[in-house]
Amino acid sequence: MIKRLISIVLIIGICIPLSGCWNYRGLNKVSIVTGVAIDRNTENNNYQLTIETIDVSGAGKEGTGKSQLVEGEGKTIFEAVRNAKKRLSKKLYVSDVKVIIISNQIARQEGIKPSLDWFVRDAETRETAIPVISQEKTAKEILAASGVDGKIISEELEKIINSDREITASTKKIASYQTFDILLGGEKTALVLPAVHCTSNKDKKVVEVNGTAVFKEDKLQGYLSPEETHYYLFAVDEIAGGITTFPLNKENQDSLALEISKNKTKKSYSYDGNRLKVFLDISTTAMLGEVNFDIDILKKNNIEEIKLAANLAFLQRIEAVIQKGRMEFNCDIFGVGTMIHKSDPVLWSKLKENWDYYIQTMEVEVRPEVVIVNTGLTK
Amino acid sequence: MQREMISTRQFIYMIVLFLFGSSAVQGVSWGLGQDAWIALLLALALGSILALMYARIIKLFPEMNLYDVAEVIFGKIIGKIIIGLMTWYAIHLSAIVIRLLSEFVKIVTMPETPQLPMMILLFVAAGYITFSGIATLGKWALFALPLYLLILLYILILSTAEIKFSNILPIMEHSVITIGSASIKILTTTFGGTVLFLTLADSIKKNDNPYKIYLYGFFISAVTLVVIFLQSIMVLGVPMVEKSYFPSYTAARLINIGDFLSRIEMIIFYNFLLAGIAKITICLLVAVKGIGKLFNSTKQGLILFILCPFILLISTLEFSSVMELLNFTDVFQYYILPFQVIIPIMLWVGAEIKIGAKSR
Repeated sequence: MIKRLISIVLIIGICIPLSGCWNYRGLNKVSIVTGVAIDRNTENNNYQLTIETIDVSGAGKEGTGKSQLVEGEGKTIFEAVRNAKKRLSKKLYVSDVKVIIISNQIARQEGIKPSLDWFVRDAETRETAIPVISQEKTAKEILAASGVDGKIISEELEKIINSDREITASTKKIASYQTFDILLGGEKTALVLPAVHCTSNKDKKVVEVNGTAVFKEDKLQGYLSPEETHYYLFAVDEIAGGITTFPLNKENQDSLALEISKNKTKKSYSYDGNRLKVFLDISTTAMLGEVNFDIDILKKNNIEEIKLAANLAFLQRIEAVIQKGRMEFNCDIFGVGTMIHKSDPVLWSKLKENWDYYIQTMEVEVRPEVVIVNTGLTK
Repeated sequence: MQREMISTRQFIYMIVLFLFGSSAVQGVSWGLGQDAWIALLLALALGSILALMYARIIKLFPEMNLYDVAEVIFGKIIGKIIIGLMTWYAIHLSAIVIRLLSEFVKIVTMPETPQLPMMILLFVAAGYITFSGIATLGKWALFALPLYLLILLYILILSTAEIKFSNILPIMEHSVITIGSASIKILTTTFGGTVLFLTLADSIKKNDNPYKIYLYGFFISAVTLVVIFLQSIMVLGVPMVEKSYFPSYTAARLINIGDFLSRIEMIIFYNFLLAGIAKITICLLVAVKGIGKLFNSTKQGLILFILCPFILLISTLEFSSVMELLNFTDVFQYYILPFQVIIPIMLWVGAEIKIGAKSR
């Protein structure tokens, strides 16, 4: 009898902690955050965050959800996020942040590492968020603009950037954990992040992806235009699509359009004790998508001419981008350091101290090889 | 108490789950970056030597556990001291494991939920298995390990999209000395803990092969730990693995298939729980047996009832933060030397002498 009594008491006792935990949050009590824009307030030097949240109450799918902007200010990012609660009835739920938009002033002056720390350290935020640099005056303007397709800018941006590699190949696909890998790693590869700006589309201000931003360590050095980024992607072997236009010969304008279907870039290097020489072997499979003048494609000479013109265009433009990265930005833009580190760590520890010198003086040889597999429906 | 026998397979599974206990949560990269898997394999090699010694002790005294062996070889007084030391080791180990597990839950999933109720619940589960006896634990292990491995396989397959093989290069970047000292750390924190299984050895049937049990157990768990580690490194990259407290969890967070299959990292959390409970249960079993031997009592329930709050006390008081807990491993590798090495060596040498004298 006593045993039964004790058992019953114990069972009830165990049920109490089993019934739920302190951290239960109902969906209607949270505001789901999709994007964060980080600015610095010049007057009091605080971080000014603009947070885009989805209003779930009005939606069945996110496509019809409305987005809302909330601002928060604080001395650190975490404080600013919490301070936004002072004007919000619901707590912010940051587990779905898709983009982190950083103003170019922060990126230039103090670097982005301090701003990104919270996004990696906090258990709720996701490491798959995409850090993006705003080319406008503030990062807030990006979120305040409207999107062409939908109303939620962060989601739009995320979808544009993620599908970019196969379609337009004009920006870089990167997540915040990869950003951290590059920033914390000792290999001194230049960090490259997507850059965003506002343009007008049918008299509305919309957000557009505009090439990439190049960093040295974690400070912004400059931008690569979408076209330059296209060739940069060739150099780092991250291209899987996109259109390349080039002229047939020097006098013509760009009049041939190649659609890239596959690309493989092999990097190799040779070091003879003094000079570093880097070779890029680029083999591209492409389809001729548009020809703006009269030419008989099936004639063998013409195909050869087009191939040579394509090779030449690639060669010149990729070399130009690499040159810009090395000379203008003075950074290892396409990962030579990483390559040396991974294949010959002893050599890397030797070169690493004067890496800037080697960047400036290394010779780069680009060897493109384009194969045109078809020319569409017409000859 | 009635002695219960366990099959070889159950014992192997128990050893594997025990070895997963805290290593799968913490990760094994002690500052080695991408070479940690080499240290793991080295630890396996060194651990196998230890295992041979442990298994030899079991072979020399079949169907007797460590406590009985100690008393037979060294007599009542020293035997009791050895029993006391091993029991203390089991108690301390279970305190550390339960602290680690509840810290993980607190940091990752439920920051505001108080830790003590969580730990109490874990003890209720582990204590119940202990109370039911080692046969129950064996049968549970037969079910729990395949489940664990299945979940692991699931995560592996899903993360193939994010894998970059070049992340494990360059191989052998670190000096042999660094790798060697890290492998000693791994050896002591994981493989060496299996010395506790000597106290459960009276459940191994006389005709079973203890060498097979130990070596299979070590091998399976080492291979799995290497796979877990390689997955974390190849998905996350070296700097992120070094910086995260729980790298395999962080790696699982990145899984995002077709935009709808994401946020499945909770499944890793479940895995941790499984392995953690296994380890705690085994430590509890060892401790309860030891105290029973020390005070000549067979009242398992009562011992458990007093032991669990005691372990809770230790785990809450010993470390004030996660950082202290993780830094403790630096001390731990020296602290366990008597338990994992010295006492077994004494027992082994004593056993060989004793058996040698008997056969003459």
